[in-house]
Amino acid sequence: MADLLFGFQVALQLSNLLACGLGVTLGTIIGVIPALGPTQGAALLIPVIFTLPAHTGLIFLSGVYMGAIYGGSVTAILFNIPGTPMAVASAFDGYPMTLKGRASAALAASAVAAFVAGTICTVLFTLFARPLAEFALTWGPPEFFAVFLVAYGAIVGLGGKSLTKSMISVILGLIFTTVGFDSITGRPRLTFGLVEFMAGIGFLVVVVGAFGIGELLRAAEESLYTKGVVTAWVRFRDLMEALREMAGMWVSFVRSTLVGFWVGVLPGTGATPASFMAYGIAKRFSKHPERFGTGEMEGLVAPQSAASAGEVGAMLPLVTLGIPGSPTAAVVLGALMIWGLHPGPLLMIDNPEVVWGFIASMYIAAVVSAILNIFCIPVWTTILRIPFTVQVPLITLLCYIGGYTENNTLFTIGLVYAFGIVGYLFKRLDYPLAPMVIAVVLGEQTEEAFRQSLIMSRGSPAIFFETTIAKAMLVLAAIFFLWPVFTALMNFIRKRSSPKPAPAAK
Amino acid sequence: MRIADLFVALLLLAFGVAVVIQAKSVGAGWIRGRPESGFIPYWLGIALISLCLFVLAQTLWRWKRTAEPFFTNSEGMWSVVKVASTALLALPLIYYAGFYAASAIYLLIYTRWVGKHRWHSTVLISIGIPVGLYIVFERWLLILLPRGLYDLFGAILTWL
Repeated sequence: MADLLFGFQVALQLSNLLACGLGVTLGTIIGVIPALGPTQGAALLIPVIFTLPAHTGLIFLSGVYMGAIYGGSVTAILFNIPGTPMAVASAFDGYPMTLKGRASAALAASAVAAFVAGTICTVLFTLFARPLAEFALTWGPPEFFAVFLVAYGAIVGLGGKSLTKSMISVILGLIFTTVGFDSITGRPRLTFGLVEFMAGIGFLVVVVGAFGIGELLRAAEESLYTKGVVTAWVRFRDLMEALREMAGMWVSFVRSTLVGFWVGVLPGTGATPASFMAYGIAKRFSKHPERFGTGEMEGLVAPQSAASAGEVGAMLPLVTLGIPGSPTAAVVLGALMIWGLHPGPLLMIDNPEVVWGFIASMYIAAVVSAILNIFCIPVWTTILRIPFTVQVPLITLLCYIGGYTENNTLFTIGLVYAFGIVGYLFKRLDYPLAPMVIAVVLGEQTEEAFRQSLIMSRGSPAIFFETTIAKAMLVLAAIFFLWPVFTALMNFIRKRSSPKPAPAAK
Repeated sequence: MRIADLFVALLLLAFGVAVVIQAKSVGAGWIRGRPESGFIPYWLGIALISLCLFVLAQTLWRWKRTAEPFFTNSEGMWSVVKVASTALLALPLIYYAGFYAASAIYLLIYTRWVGKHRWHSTVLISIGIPVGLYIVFERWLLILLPRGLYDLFGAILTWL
């Protein structure tokens, strides 16, 4: 508790409050713009903030993604164009609500859901943070390596896409991190004879290229455009009505929040899978599942609260263990490394103002976000008046700037473009990108943990099976990796044992 | 779609082979009881190659079932080509003319040719955005962006 009060002391300093407010504003704008989500938005803003001290910059980032989670839902509700991947499920019932003339209530409900869920989860976060970090202090390289494997396993096995392609994505990311100087022997490797590769490939380049430019290419193909502008004010009457309706569904709300939080905590899975899972679960346990998809408020509140819960949850393993719980958290991890901080259990001891200021700022960001959202909807919809054909070159230029700031070489800008093409191809061919991002951010530490363990054990792999934690984590990682095989097997058995369905009568 | 799948899988395969060769050249075995620097890239490359072979086999196995085209319509294809080619063009532009001049030219080409905006909005955007970026990045954040071989922007600045 004393930690949290200290955190508030940090977060309530004027410069940090301003950073938070600015972050929420920019984050909402980023969320509203369809081709940008919190992941690439945070990555694009990193060059802007690394001139700030770490705790201020981190508070800014927490504002950005709190804002982005809500911003995406605005366009999802009003135009059926989700501004962020985590808002897709919010459009299922949000847009029908707009069609029924209940846009204002939908926007209000979304803001309230995001705020309450975010606050509940920040409380949970506060409760679990210190115990988890203190537990992780007892770990050594073998345990950390095992936990990294759990992270890869979770994102590969639970991602829902083809296991082979997910694994290719992870391995590709790991290969990218081995380019450059080997941290243990100090010799260059995988430079392919190019001096420019000696500095390695930074995660910012990969994220900004694959998620930024890659997403632009994909959006260009689907020719996104917003048809007309719907000016929606959130009227006080609608806000009260939305609150009353939500009070009636508090069970579903709490359930979605908890589902979202734990999905977020799982390494690699963040707000996006959390929102879909919460939608599915809410529909399954609802008394009127047939109403989902027609403008049922529960169908909007469930994914929205899960998305906020998920992103807050994703930060928990990040600040305590150094394992990002979602691709957006991976970008925050990268930012911490740029500031020279090493996320992990030691961060709480060495830099408590960073960790607890960050946690306290999440409460503040939730409040600021709720206030801004209720009163500023018309501002956000005006942003959408910027034609897509102007957004594209602007975002491309911002991506190039982001890549350039990595190590001030033009070569890096070219790399950003190359990763953009890779990202586009991957998205179109169903290769998931999130595993690659997680691998690029965690790869160096994974390899370090692996080799340090082997150095400690003088070459014997048995060290990975010594402690209970390491063994448990390795088993968990194996379960995650093999999960798709398991589900495929179950489906196969089910199909074999059930009788063939009768042909439909014409 | 399946041709694209094959193509990308083959490309990744080639990359994997390159990685394996490079890793072997720095040493991929064990020295004095610990792995050499090439050990992990070597095995990652091997894993990549095997997985790509698997994807190739999968694509060929499902050849008959998956006959969708890569681009659903030619409009989409041309959109992608336009965005990709202009973004690529921006790269040598940045090298020769510097970031700000290059972005002005890039914006001009994109908003006029692709966006089909009218001349006055095109010019406004092509001048406004680079100036805005200059103020934000160079003046406010003190992040220096490349000025290029011929530094057109610097010339304009000194002239002003």
